[in-house]
Amino acid sequence: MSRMDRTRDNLEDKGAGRPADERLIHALLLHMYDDQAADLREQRVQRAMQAIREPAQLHASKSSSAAEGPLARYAWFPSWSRRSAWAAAALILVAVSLWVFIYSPAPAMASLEEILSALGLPGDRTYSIQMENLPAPPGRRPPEENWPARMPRPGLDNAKLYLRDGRRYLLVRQDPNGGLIYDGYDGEQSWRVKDGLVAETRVGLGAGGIPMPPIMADVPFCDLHQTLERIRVDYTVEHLGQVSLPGNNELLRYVRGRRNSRDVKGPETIEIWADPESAIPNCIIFDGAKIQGNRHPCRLTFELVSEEPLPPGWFTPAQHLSADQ
Amino acid sequence: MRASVYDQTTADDLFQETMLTAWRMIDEYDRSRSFGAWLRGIAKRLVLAHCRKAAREVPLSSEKVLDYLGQRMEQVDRQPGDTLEERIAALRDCIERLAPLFREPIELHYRQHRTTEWIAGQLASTKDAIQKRPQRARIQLAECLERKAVLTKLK
Repeated sequence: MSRMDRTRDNLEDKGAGRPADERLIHALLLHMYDDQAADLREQRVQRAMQAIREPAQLHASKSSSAAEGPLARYAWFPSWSRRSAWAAAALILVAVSLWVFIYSPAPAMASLEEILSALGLPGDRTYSIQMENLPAPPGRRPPEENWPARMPRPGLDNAKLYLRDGRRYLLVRQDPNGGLIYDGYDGEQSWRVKDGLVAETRVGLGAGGIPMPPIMADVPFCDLHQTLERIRVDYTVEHLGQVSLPGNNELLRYVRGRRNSRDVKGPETIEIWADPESAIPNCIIFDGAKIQGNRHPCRLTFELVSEEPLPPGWFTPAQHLSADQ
Repeated sequence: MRASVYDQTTADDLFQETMLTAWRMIDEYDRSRSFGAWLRGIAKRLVLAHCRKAAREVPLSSEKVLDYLGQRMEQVDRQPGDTLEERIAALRDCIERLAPLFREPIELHYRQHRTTEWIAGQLASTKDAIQKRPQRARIQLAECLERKAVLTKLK
């Protein structure tokens, strides 16, 4: 039987073929959806190259005993083979560098436009924020192993975001040292109240130091209107009809934005469930967000909890000085 | 490598080991033969050596399955024209063609790293049913890639 025939026979053996094909697709899917794939591949190649440059370390490395037996005799490097070895290494580098992808699904901007318009309508809205650390992807080391311990920073879990007219905002979050931190914008100046005192004011939008995903932090994140505006450029938006939130039968307009490229600093996906008539977002999930001071990629869930009118001075610091003192 | 072992860290380690072994053996490489197939042969031996030590990987990476994977990769290598990027684009197109019943679990599992329980809750289904859907979806994707001639059709 020729080599070709044996190969064909093997391929026709579905007993091994289907599981192997399934594993192949699994690997391709892992690769396709791994936004850090390029960085990790670069690290792998660099590690391999480093190890090659330091042959003394090779023997101390954890090569498997089964592999060492038959392969150990190749551990010496005749000088004449170095050139071809470097050529092979370069070939490997090129092959690995080709392991990239571009994702660009068709956009559905009309729904996003309506949501943006709705957020600019007069009225007060209160959102609760939940922050959940995501587990490391399968097989990846948990962040604790790679990151040194740091001082705790104010988190966003159980924070509240108050919005008025899609322009004024107030974020109230827990201070890990006790008490609350208020970051707000009254339409003219941004301010922060901490420990019952005004800690910072500045003209215009943007209180610094709020640990939000970059897409939100660098466009005064609390201006949700501006934040979502950025999605137009950096995300591919899909309108996926009307779906309900888990545990709720009410049908809502569902829009999902996927980051166009890993170069975009922002959550991997942004999901919005909006009222089918008013287009006001009932729930927004920023998924796979990397937040300053937080080791884990996380999921931020903004949930509309009230549209009741807030006190007139709610977005000024004076209101919260008295509340904290 | 990712198709051969579950654990990504192990896959990384085996990848590095493969590169080092290839470096050591480069003077043995027969230039008249496929370089990719030669590398995969090294990788296969290392994966099998690893599987013998880590019993839980054995069902995933039997020698037969690894042989088949190697043949599949060789077929893909031999096909003219398509870059890896284009093949990934073909896979992406196949995902778009999946019925929502299968596409949603795939995206939730691979893109968002959601747990089976979470997906079952989101899609109002049972955990058992959700566990089977990615498997069936992957088989459908393999068939789709066969139709697109990215993979050779199984007889």
